[in-house]
Amino acid sequence: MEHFLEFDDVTRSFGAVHAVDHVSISIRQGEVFGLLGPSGCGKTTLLRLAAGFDQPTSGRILLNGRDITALPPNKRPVNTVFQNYALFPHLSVWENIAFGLRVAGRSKAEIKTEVSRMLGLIQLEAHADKKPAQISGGQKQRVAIARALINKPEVLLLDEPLAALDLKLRQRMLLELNKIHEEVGTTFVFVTHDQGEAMSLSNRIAVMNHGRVEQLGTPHEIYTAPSTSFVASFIGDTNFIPGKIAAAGPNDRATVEASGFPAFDAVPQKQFPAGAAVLISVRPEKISLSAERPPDVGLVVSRCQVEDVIYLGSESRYAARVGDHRIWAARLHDRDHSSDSIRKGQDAWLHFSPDDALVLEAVTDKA
Amino acid sequence: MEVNRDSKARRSLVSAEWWLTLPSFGWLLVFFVIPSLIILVISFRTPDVTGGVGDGWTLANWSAWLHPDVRMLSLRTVWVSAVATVICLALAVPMAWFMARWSPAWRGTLLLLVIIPFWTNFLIRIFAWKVLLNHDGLLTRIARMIGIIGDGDSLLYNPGAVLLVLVYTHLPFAILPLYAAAEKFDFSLLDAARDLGASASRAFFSVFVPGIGAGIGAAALMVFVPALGCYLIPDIVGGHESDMLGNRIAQRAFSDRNLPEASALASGLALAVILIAAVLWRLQRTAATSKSAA
Amino acid sequence: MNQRRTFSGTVTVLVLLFFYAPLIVLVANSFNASRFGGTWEGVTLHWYSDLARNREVMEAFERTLTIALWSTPVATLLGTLAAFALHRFHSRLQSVHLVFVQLPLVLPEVLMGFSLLLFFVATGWGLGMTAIWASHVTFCVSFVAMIVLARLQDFDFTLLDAARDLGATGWQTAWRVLLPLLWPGILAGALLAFTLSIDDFVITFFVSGPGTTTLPVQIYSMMKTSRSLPVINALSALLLLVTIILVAISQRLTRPSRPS
Repeated sequence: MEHFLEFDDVTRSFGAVHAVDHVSISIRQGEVFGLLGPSGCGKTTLLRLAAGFDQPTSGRILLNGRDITALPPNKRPVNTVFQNYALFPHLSVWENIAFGLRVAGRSKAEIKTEVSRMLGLIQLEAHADKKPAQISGGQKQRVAIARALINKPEVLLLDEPLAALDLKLRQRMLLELNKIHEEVGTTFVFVTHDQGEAMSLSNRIAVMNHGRVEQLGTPHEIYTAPSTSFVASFIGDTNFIPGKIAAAGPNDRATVEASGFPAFDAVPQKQFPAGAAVLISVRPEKISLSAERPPDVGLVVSRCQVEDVIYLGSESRYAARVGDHRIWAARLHDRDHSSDSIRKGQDAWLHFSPDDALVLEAVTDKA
Repeated sequence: MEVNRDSKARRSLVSAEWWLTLPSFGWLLVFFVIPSLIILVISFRTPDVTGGVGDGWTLANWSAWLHPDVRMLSLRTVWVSAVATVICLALAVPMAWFMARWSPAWRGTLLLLVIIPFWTNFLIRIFAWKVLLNHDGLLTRIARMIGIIGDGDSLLYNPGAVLLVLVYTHLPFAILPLYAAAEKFDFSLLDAARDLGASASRAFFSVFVPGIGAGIGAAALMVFVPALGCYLIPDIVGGHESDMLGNRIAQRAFSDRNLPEASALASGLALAVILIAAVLWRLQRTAATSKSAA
Repeated sequence: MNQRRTFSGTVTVLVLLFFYAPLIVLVANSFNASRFGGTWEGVTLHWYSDLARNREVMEAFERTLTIALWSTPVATLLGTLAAFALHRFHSRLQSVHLVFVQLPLVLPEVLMGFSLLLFFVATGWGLGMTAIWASHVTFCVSFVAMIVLARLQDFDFTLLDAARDLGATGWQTAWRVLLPLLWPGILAGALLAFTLSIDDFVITFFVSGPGTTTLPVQIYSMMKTSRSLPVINALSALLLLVTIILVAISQRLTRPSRPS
């Protein structure tokens, strides 16, 4: 279902500050949806609004067509996995998972069956009688998820699900979450500040900044076609080259002058008038360095000086100076480029394809 | 629509606050604030010859504070309390250091050992000393044997006994906050100081002691302020020259039946205590916040 | 550092000896056949049996217990509510409320006792058992409030959010999550209130009036008149034992929960 969980022009203000500013998002049934952004962008507030712990100042929240804006959290068919898990310390793992069913007044037999099923799903049958203090962080995470899912919510909300885990555990948990989602099929909405997490878990992502949604799309769309400088810099690495629109052309094309580079034709992310200042975003992996001058055909070329070479094993990164700017280039050491021909201090040629250049608005606000 | 939602929520929140606050607030208002105000009011009334409260208004009772007897009493009270505080701090700081350095196993036991006397009946603890110090008491006999005192003397009924029992009963109040502060102290700072060339005692006095400044302030507060209002200790183990302000108030109230004057003394003492407590509390707060800012 | 350790270690041991010596002598003397405890004259349980037969003391004990059992629940309830209010809300009302709660902890007992005496006389309430009961509740509320407040400050309130999220109503949340976790703190407060009530002398002395003696008041008058001193020893030894048990229980209850 297309508009399963919907935020309809939702605003949440605290005095003059808009933590969430006229946000409209439509989440599909069964998808894994990520709310991504730096701290203070409003993603957590949005999650709390969905859970019912906070009320929007204006706007509505709809679930499966029903307006749930005024519903208190205990009446919403929505469950949350908290960032600190919030497992009840005085109850065992079993009792924690059973909590939702107990307060709903289900029968003993039913509770028993369901809890066993959940314990099986998260593979913690052996730890059923332990208290939260006796299990590890990753196990607590799974108990928190089971405790939420047992109530068969229509949406599962997760607040920074991987933030409290160390790197190795995070990778495992990522796979676990994907697996659980496949088995259960519930709509997942999660909040994170980590773009890697968002990219690997989500079907679609909403990138937020200052209470607004900057862009909503699939991970691929957001990475390859960021619509604002903020999104371009928040997701992955990129180079920002200042420039301006020399002339606007037909078919949304424009001639762009990038400082230090010859002018080239590109399709900007949005309409800019001639003379407008812009930022040109080119990802390091799209920038190539060579000792000989490459052919000019369809490439933007410039002379550069290689200031630094960082060898990372699987790839190398090069800091090249073009005019006033430092441009980063990245090259994978695959079969074609197993040895390094570019050296620090060397003069080289730097080039990229205009198709890989994203022309975005020039703002001072970058991630 | 939205404004209503907000104010309705706000109204139910306010009534929840009233429901929670009213019971204790009301009780304390009736049984604590009002009696205190009564005392304040009575301090301005003339005394009745039959031993009660008279009809007129006067400032005469407050002039009791200027009476040489009372001034000396106040001085003695402050002095004894101050000395007791200093002794308590001097004993509690090394103890807190020691307790904080030991492994958790011992620390728990030590803490328990400190707390038990703290919970013991106050009267009993004073009584225990009365027994030890009285004419035939164990300590008196030992002192006589050693030759500190003569045959007819007693260790009891003098300012020294009052000071001793004051320290005895108030030392736990000093140890606990100091221990709490010492436990939070980052002992690697001492290693850093030693590394930079400081001697052990230099490190102790210029790094550790300031580091637990908030604890020292709290400990001073917890000893000095209650000591000022001390009544029972001088009453039981002190002689006539060891009277403190608290005793004078009780005397005026019960034996002399001069309620207004007793009220003036009581109110004055209360105000002094509140003032001193507020100042000390402020000081230890600034010590605590400046430490966390560092 | 080592000199530091031996010095502070010595201080610690000496202080502990200082703490316990008088109490040990007291307990020892309760078994001492000598009347004045200056010399040892043989073991006896004689003073304990005297104690059991002493009607005044027994009656005083009964009165003390009655008052403590009636004042503890009230003080615990009021103190717990106060702690909730002080923790949850931060209005002007609460600032005044906090002053009301903290002042009794600072003011000397003489002052509180005296003011309550005048209060009960002026209002015509009169002195006696109910006056003592009301006075005990008054000073115990502050202690309970401070203890429960400390527990609340350590309390993880997202647990309540979690309970609501899982479908619990306000009542269910309070009953299934809040109270079970707060219970040890409340009980510790109640225990302290009970102990303070049993122990109290000064305030009780002021408001008890003739004829209503509690145990501490009884002990005091016996001390002052130097009457039956050894019986007081025995009584003290027993009270000491009770105290130690109560402390042990309270310590178990207030042991801070370690974050895992």
